[in-house]
Amino acid sequence: MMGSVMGATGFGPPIYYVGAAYGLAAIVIGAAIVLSLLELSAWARRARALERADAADDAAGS
Amino acid sequence: MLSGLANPERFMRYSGPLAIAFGALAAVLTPWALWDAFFVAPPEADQGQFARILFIHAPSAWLAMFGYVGLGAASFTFLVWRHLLADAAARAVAPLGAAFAFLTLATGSIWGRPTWGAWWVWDARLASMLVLFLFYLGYMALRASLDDERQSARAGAILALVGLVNLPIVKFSVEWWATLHQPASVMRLGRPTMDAAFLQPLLLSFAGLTALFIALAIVRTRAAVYRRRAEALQRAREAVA
Repeated sequence: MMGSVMGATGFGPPIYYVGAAYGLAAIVIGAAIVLSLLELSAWARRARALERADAADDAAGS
Repeated sequence: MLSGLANPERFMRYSGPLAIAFGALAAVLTPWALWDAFFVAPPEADQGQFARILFIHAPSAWLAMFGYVGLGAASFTFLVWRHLLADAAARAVAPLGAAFAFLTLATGSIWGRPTWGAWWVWDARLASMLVLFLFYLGYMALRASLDDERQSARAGAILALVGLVNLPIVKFSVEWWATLHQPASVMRLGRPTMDAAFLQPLLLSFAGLTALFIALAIVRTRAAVYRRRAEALQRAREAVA
């Protein structure tokens, strides 16, 4: 309805705008999910590796 | 309950299942909201298909403010009680809030072009949301610029508390000033002014994205706790060597 009126006045079809908004949201939210999970995984692995190394050092020392 | 979770060991024990529960809730509610937004809600009488953008824009705006309330509360807790976990939570929430503030501005701009005829207007609501986004960026930049962890946490917390002043301005700007932005239609005293066909996908989107935000905030706080633990162990090893 309004989309066709706006299309005729040079705004382009609504699908461009709706697609751009949801596409951008998918990229931003997707990046937030992936980066958060990668960060958690990386630091958890690092902390556990250091704990294991500490435990190994203690065992070797005693 | 919250004071109990302030203990990092206890937080790590309970936060994993909690993050999974909120993540699962988001995984159910968000696709449901999208389905309703695209296939159940009809084109709006005045805005046509463009109104569908609001199902992502309005929840993003809510989360940008919700995130800043969380940032402020965590910062206050850190300043008063010196809970390191509160500082970790504040630092974890800031990029998420910034992401949703950015989405609010971007999707609002995409919606504004065909409906208002402009990508941007210096309206009180838009300007105050931009200030909120800048507070998030300022907080993250300040935290990143100071090497001393204690000093960085304290300076960041003070900046976050100063930024709280902006929240009522964002919320009530549409009532205090004559703005192009429409007044509140869901979060207001009394019943929402929106038709049920639009209200249902909007509320589902609010709930789904809020669950996702909480899940990600927990995940990022857990990452911060692991990071502190790894850095402390590394320092201890270096001191021995």
